[in-house]
This record gives sequence, structure tokens and C-alpha cells, in this order.
Amino acid sequence: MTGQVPEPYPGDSAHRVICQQVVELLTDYLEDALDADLRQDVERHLDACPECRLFLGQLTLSTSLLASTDDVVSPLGATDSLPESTVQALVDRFGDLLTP
Amino acid sequence: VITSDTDDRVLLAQLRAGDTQTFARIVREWSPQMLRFARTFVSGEAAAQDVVQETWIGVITGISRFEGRSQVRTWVYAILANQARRRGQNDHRTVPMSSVANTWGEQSVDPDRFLPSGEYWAGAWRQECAPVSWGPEAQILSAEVADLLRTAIATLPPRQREVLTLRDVHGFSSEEVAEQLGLATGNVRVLLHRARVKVREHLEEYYHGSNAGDRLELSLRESS
Repeated sequence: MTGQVPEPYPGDSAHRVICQQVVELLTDYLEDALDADLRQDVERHLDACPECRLFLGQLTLSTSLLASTDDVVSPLGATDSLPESTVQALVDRFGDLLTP
Repeated sequence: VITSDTDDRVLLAQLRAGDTQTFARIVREWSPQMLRFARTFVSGEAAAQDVVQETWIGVITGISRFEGRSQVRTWVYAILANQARRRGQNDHRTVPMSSVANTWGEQSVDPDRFLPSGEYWAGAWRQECAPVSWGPEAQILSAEVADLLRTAIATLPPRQREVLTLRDVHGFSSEEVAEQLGLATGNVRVLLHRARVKVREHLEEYYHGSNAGDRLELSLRESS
């Protein structure tokens, strides 16, 4: 947060925090890391502000798409796993070092 | 691969006892995902394989010193992140901070998208820059969007890339990522937020055709 972020509006419960502040708090909100008061302020703002709701929805959509990138075709030339010869060499090394 | 605490204790005991079958199983099961992690940090398939191989060697040599305070997989990924970072630096693949750092200081979202101080609604979205719905097609991950996301990840500053990849692609908790990278959980969330906002911006640009920056420039030109 910098000094550029405007002060909240006193007495206006839906705008105790304003859009520019809310967008900076959304990961803390999603990770459940806000204290109860601030969490409530953010939730009130989201109830009243369709744009910030949309922003939040798009942020969560982005993260859920990221979680599935792994399942979509790998980049060109990528292999699915280590070559079997490498796996075997690692297992042998493990055996030499750790098997009593 | 999610393991319960009991499974994890069993796994650790087997590894410490030198159970080669268990070791072979986790190398086969975990390496594909670890390769995908490594690819975001190094260029070339051979380098990615080297990183994963070096990680497993680190596991073999370090298992006797590992105290089991975190899950085995969390610990393995801490070694992996370290190896990938080291190799990425050698490869000069790491994008210089200055070329991708925010131009607007601590804010993740461009402050020009909000009404400036002095206006009654200072800090609220400018109408022409407010988020717009992406439509139903955005719910589906196409190969094209997956490529776009990979590019988005690749252009993040290294720390943000590590945090986002571990948290959002590989599904570790913020606390686990903090442990893996030796950061405070609060810092992990700050880096994660900046990275997520940037990824969202890549998608916004893709789904809108014209991005918010262009719309802002247009509206500023029209109003002057």
C-alpha cells in the first residue's frame, strides 16, 4: 500500500474500503489472512460493487485455470517423465547409499 | 499427490530404511510434475531433466538429515526450487527485474484505472477501465489459453514466478511455499497477489481484444 491509496469514506459502510484498496486485499481475502474487521469491510464492499466482484471472480478463475495448465498438452519437445535409464541410475545410487 | 500425515510418516520411514521400491515409485510418480515446474525456470528439456535429477540426488544425500517437520513432498520441492533457481541463473534465463517490475510502485493494479485523489469517488474504478465480463468461453482452458498462461508465468519476476507456480499450479499452501522458499508467509501472499494480478491482466487482454490500457489512453485523449 502506498500513500497514493485514498482514505476510506467515514460513515459509509459499503465504502469503508474503496475499489483501489479492495483489489490489493483480494489474495489475503482468498487466503483467509485478513482480520475479522477488514474481512467484513471487504465483504460489504464486494456486496455493493459489481466491478470489484467481477475482478475477484476473474482472479479466482485465473488461479483455477493455472491449476489445470498442468493437464493441458505439454510444450513442444517436452517429455512426460525422466528417461527410464535416469530413474534406474537414481534408484541404484539410492540403494548404494542407503540400503544397509 | 496429496498424502495424509500418516502416509507421509510411513513414506519417510521407508525412505530412511533404504526401501528402493518406494524411492523408485516416488521418482516415477513425482518427476513429471517436477519437470513441469523446472521448465518454467530453465530453457531446454535437457536442462529441466538435469534440475529434476539433481533434486533427487539432493534427496538421496539429504534424507538422513531431513527432520520430517514438513511433508516429504514439500521438502522435495524446496530442493527443486533451489536447484531450478541456481540453474536458471546459470542459464541467464532469469528475466531482469527492471524489465518486468511494476512501474507504479507497490500497487499491483495500475492506479490509472482508478479515479485520482481530489475526485469525490477517488480510488473507485474509472468507468472506462473497470473490469468487464470475459464471457462463458473463459471458463474453459483451451490449449491456446494454456500457452498464454505459460507465457504469463515466464514473464513474471523470478520470485513471483516461484510463488505462483508452487501455490497455484502445484497446489501447495502459502505456508508450505513460505517454508520451501525461506520467506515469511506475508511476503508469499504479497508476491502471490502481484503475480495473480499480472496473470489476470494477460487473460483480460486476451478476452477483451483491446486491453484496458488502450481504453484508458483513448479516453484520456478524448477528454483532453
